[in-house]
Amino acid sequence: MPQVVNTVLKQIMKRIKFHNSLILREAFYNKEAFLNFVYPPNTLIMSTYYSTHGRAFGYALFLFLNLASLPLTAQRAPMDPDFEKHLNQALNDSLSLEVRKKHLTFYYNLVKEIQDDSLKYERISEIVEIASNLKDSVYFHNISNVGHKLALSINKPSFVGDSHWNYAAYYLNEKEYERSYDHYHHAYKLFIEANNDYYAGKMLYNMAYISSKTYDYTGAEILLFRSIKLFEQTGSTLQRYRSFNLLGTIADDMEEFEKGLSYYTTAANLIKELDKWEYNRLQNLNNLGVRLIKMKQFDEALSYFNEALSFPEILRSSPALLAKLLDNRAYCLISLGKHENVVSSMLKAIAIRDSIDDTSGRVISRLRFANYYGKIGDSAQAIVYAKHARELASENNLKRDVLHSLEFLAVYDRKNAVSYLERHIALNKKINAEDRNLRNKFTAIQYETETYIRKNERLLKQKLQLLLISLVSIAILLLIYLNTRQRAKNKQLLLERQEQQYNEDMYLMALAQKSNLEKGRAEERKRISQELHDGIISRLFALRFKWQTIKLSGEAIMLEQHRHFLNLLEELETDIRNLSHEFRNMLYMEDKNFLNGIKTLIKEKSEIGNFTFRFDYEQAEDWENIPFITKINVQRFFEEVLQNVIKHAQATEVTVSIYRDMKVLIFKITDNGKGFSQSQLKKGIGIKNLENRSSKLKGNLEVQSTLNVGTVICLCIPINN
Amino acid sequence: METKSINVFMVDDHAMILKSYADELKKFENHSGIYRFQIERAYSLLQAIDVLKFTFEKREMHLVLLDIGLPNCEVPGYKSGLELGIAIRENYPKTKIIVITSYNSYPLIQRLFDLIKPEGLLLKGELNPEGLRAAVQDVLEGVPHFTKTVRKFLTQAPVKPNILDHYDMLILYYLSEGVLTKDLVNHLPLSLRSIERRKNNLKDILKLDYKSSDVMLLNRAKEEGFL
Repeated sequence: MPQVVNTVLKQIMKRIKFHNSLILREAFYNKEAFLNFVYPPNTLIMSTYYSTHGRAFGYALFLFLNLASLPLTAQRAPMDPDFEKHLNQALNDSLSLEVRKKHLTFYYNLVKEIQDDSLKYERISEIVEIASNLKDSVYFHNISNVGHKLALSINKPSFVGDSHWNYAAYYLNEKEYERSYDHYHHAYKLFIEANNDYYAGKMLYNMAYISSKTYDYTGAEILLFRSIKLFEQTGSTLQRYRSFNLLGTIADDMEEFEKGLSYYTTAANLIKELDKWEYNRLQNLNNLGVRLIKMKQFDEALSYFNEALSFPEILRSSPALLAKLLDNRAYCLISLGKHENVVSSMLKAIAIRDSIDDTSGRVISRLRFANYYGKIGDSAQAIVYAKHARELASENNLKRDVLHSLEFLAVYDRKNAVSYLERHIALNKKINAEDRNLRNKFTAIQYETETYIRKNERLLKQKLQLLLISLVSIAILLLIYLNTRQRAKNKQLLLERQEQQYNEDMYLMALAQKSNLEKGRAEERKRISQELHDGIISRLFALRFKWQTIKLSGEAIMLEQHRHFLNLLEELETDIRNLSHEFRNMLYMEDKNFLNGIKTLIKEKSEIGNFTFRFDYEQAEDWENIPFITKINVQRFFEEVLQNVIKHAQATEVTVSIYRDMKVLIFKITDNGKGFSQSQLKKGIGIKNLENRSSKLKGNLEVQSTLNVGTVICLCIPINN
Repeated sequence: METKSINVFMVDDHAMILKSYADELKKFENHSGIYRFQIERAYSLLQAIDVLKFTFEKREMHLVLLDIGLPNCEVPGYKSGLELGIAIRENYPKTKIIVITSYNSYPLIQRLFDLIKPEGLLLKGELNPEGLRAAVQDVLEGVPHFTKTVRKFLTQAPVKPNILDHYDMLILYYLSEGVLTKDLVNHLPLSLRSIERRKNNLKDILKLDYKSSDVMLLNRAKEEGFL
């Protein structure tokens, strides 16, 4: 019998020779499945994932959303009892779909009244989740559309992602893989955007699941590795376990059994870390068994199934798994040629599957029966079961199972074998084309996702770079600005100081010039006076004297005139002598007195400031003798203080006194103005200038001020000689 | 009539003046027939010091005609004819000295009398050939001879010095010469403080406010005839 199958298959292979290698490989897998007829592991995942966890998963999603995206509503607002009642009724499996729908509509109408958009969306998402199980596509689309729009209006990636997830789950249930994959892919992008790695990982897992369903094993593997990476980051062991589990089945399907074993071992290790590990442990055992069946090591596979079945307590709560184990164990026994006692197990499995409406399970159980009857030589029974399986499978759109049943029929129904084979070939071709089409679409979507992610990464990198650059530039600009300001300040200060110095130098130079000029003038006067006195007068005298000795004779009048002229000459001599003396005396006329300078200054200022003044000084002191630089600074000191008196003091009387106390010269200004407080003194720049001046002269500045009484400013300079 | 030989030493920085003096003495010699003048001349302070050092010992000088305002030389201790006169008076007390100067200030006249005690003091402004002849004759005959202004000073002198002492007069004199107060210490053996005190005292005597300037002080001093 297997020879016949093989020849048929060879024929098929020939006909599909032109197909690409991937399809050839798939055909090979198909052959495996055909020959061994194991429970398809993918369906196993599918059923565990959806029938036992589907709803719980949905709730988990709901709660996680609460926690992840809406911390404010983490503590749920107390629910209206009405709300609660309708929600519970809608969730009640035992009620008919119509009644549940009615309750859900009630609940939905109540939810519509909620004001808070975020809260409202959460509830609607919950409703969409329930609606997807009510087998009414119009109803589901209505509600999910509302939810999707609301999510978009809130414009929160996590909400929009959740909405896509609802759609994806719905389409997955409907076996519309392409749409489902697309929605998962959207959801994945959005969760990545929302920084929710956990959900993003889940989306990847689901996409991988769809990929494996369409025999895109390589794509599925890649997706799973990415999801595992995300789950490792979020530390979710259960999801990692599931991912490794799926990786294991994929590796088995690709006949890379060693790899598959290592994945299952990793998954088994992860089970130990889980809280509720029992169920997953049994599932793991089942998967290991299935793997061995594929490797045709039925003995060892049998021991796994037996071990799993030794936990009836746990299996009681998960009938689907129990059915699988029973069926798989029976298959092992049949394959080992032990046909006794297998029928009861198989009947038990088929009963369980029929009762829980596990569609694919029901089809597989019937195919197993066909296999059993074929093995024991009861072709008629085998054909009956195979036909039944084909009907069920085509009803539920399980095309692969239709193929399997057609293969059985071709083998056992010899009369119609050719037509069955032709149908098989046509269907196989169609499925392959569809799958290829789907894979291409997935690849396109995937590629889009990858580009999107890469773009995102690039953008993020650019953003970071931009941020870094701008930060650095801002810092640099700030530094430059501060530096420039500081420099400008310093420059200004320097300029001011230079200007002051320059002014003082100018003043000094002018004074020195003046004094030089006067010195020169005095010297010149002295010289002229000397010249007049010692030169001209002497010669004039000599001339006159000599002339007077000359004896003249002549008329008396002429002689008289001669004597008169000589007398005039003598007078001229006296005049010149007096002139010479006056030249010298005039040296004293110059009024360049230090004290007079100060006096003039005070007088000028008193006129501006409208105050009376007194100037006391010690006459005996030789004020002209103090160093020139001191004179200038003292003059400036008086000028500045008097300027301040005019500006601020509003004084009516000012006394300036200068005197010497031992070896210290004291310059003091007293006014009767309004005075100032100590704090004002500290702020004043005028005082600082005075202090600078005082320190330049190695002197000491004393300032005493009493509000409304007056101010005394005293500059004391030690004499150094 | 027996003629008397007189050794005369004349100092003046102007050769023409010395020539005139010499001519006049020659005329006097011819006219009187009593004196025969042997004349020694010096045209500068340095030359005069030389003559004093070497010639005076060999030949006794009977009469010296001395000018005060001589150009300064580099010999220490000699600033003008004044120091020369003092030296002659000290070393040769018998030598008769006639000072012929153009300076006519009272303090100088005072100093001349204090330090040299000349037998004759002639102010150039008041001097003519007859005056010189008369002075020489008087001095040689042992009679002091002074020109008009000097005589006037001598008659006033006893009154003023009672109030102002020698230093006060000198302070006034130097101030009138254009010396600054702070530089007076170079001319007088007094401290700056005591000079200031004397100045204030002078202002007191001259009935001036003690804040008055030096110019005012000098003007008042002139009015009072201290200068």
